[in-house]
Amino acid sequence: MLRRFRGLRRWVRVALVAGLALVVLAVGGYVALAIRGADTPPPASLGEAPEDGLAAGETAQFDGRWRVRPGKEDFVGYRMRERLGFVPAPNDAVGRTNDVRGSITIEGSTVTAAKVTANMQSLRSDAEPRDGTLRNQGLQTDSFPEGTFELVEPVDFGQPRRGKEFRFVAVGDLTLHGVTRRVRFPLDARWNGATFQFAGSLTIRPADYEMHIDQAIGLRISETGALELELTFARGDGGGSAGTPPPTEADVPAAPAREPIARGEGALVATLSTEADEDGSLYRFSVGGDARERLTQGSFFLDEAPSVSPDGSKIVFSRAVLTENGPPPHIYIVNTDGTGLRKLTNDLFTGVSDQPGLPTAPGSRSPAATRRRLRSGSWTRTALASGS
Amino acid sequence: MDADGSGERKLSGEPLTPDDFPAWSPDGSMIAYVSFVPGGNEDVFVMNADGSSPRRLTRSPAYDYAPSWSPDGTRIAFGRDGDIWVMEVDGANAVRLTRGSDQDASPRWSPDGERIAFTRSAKRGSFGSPGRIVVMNANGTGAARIVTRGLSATWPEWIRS
Repeated sequence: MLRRFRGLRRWVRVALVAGLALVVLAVGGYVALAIRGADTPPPASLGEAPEDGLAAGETAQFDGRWRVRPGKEDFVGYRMRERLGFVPAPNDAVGRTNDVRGSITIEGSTVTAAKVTANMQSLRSDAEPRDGTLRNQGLQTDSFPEGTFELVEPVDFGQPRRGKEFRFVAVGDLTLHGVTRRVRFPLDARWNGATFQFAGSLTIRPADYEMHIDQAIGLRISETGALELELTFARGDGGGSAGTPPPTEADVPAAPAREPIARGEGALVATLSTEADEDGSLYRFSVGGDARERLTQGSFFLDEAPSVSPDGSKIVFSRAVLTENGPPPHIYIVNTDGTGLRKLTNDLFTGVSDQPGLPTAPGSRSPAATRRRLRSGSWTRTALASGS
Repeated sequence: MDADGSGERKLSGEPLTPDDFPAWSPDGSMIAYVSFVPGGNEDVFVMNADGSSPRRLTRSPAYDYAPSWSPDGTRIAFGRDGDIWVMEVDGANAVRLTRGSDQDASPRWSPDGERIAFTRSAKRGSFGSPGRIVVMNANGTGAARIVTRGLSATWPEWIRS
């Protein structure tokens, strides 16, 4: 057989070897995907109800703010089907993070506000190369470190019975890769007494969120995937007691409102934030109305000191990353419609702050930490300037 | 620096005197800013846009912050010790527009020059408290708050339509 192979023309031999190599690569890759995906986690579900305690006969009181309870079992993540050429991989690519925070606010039996933020930089799958790719492709977590879902329509839970699953659709704004889209997120839920559990899967198209991945040779991802979550919420005070709930967004006083509500024309951009979260995003709103439009996503950021360009098309502002030992604030630019976010300045010198009005405090090793002290009451120049 | 982030150059200040809160004049020829005066405190300065001819506008023992030009370029609003003030561009005729126990800061003149938006927080000196955006007439009358549905609001800036 070897003699017959050598008897073939050279180009035929080359073609045969190349073809064989492709087959080996394809089969090998498929087998590798099959082996790697053998432990693919199951889809999101509520699982077993925990014993977290409402005494028999105790009445249900949902009012107040419920926060994401940190736990290794809970997560936000993605599920994508990869393909080798035209052949679907036998298992899903699944990445998850349990670095999630957020809250829901319930008034009576109606969820009036909800927001969940996931640290996308901590997404982990069973393949480190895939995780690494997402840092600068697809989700580009280096540039867009968070994903958020914010409820925009109230949800009436009715009268949930303890331990009984129910289903609802959460209509809200999903922000991935810096792109926000209105979605209808179907969720299973269960009230366990001291906790609410939610689980669900939302089909998404990465292209809708302007996510693109340079396809590796022969390896592709499907055009659709799923955003999954399993989250548990406990009362804001960490327990299930009927104590005074922590302040909700609506409770955060806009200071005693002695002034009347403004009338007239005009549009403003300003930093809006909740006292509890410390962070802040730029919003655009009208002087005489209550409609507002979020321009930047800031659950791990503090965006401040906006300045509009003379032609009214762009806004420059400072962004501080609210993580311990985070980088110093830098100047960013965004269009006044919220598109085109771009970083203008970079770390040239460690500890140098580019934020107008927020010079790095002498001796400070962490401007972010400085920011936290600032927010907690320290006297600083910026505090005076901003009024916050 | 240029709008694309290039061409950065230092315009103002001695090596150890921090300069903050730059604000372009409407015609782009000048920049108002705040500088720490050695042995003193923060005062408002102006300079030409190329950094030449810095001039000190305020000499108050108070802390002066965040200047904002009127659209016609004749006046500058700024924060002083928790109140909003306005003065001529040469520093003359400084007038206090707000007063009281609130902390008022970061004034911004509306594009038509008729109004000034600023941040107001509940208690003077109580930093970290929630703020709200207040709009008043440029003469200090008619203060009214912007609806932000309970969220703390700071750093207003007008968007020209």
